[in-house]
Amino acid sequence: MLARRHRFALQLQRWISRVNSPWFIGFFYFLLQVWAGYSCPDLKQFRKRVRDLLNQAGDRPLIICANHLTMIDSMIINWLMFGYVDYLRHWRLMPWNMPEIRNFAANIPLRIMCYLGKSLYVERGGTLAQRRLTVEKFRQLLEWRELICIFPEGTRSRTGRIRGSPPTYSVGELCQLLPEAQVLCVYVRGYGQQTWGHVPKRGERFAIEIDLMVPATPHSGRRGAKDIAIQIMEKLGTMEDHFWTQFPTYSETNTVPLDPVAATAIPPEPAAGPAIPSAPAAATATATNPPS
Amino acid sequence: MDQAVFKDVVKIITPYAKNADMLAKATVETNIHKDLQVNSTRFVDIVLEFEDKFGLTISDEEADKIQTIGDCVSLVSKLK
Repeated sequence: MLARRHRFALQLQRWISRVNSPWFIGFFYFLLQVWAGYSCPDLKQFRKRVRDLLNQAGDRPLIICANHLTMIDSMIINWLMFGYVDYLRHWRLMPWNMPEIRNFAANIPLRIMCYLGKSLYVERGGTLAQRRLTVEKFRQLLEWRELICIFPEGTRSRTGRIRGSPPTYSVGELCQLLPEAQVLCVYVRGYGQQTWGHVPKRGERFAIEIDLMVPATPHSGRRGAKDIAIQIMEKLGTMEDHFWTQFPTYSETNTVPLDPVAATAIPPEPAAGPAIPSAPAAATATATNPPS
Repeated sequence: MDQAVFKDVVKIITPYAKNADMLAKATVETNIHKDLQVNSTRFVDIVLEFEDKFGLTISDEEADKIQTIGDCVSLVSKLK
């Protein structure tokens, strides 16, 4: 059970972010759509599919699990999934995130943005007690039927692909704590995103896929948590395969280490990939259709 | 100290240790988290491998207490 002061802190953050949501959401939509010029073919169709899946999920706790390529993936996912008015009407749709504290702590404006964007910091390599507290906070949020967003890789894909990336098991723990929870798997990738980085290039066009899964495992404890995390990674991997099947030209330049342990070593951040002049014609199919 | 268990423990930890230098001179006092830089997720993998390799069941409480290679050896020797 989460201590009262932590519950109060979460409720306060939810309330403050809710009050600030009209300008805050408008500000970050402006940044993404106007300043950065990001776009997604058939966004309306995609958002309709999101609404359908939410209806399908009903009143059960919902965890969004996505692939992770840049520092602003959660912003991009939030923008793609729901419109400005959706958030104003239903603030719970804005998912809670868990960014790594070292990426944001030194920058006060970024900290404020993260607070208003419903972020709870985590510390990579933190103590067991810190980790447990974070899991408890997210459990509490799920019990309040807030959406949460987790990147099961735990960090940006060092290989540029979900396949070959070792999973973290927090999402599995949450699913075990709340067996009725469902997972909304999201795979989002810009056509020009060859690998990981800070932010997608300006003018990027995104393909996005989404699907609902109900993880289940015969195991308990940490083995069960691992099993569930692997199932989610496998689902995201299937969605990734679908993406690369549609755009094989781009996959030729990507190589994936096969050793998941080797993939945990953090290589230096790559330079921005070559700009790709235009999105493939098949973009609409990816944005519109459910994953195979 | 059971040297055979010590060797098996180090062998299991090896793929997950980020600090190869510390691993090369590992002793019973080597801290798995701080010295070998094994993160919490990979530590779960290590505990699961202990269970599989030695046919044990390690509770969360017991796993939480593990800090050093010596702790692992003691725990495995106790539960075996």
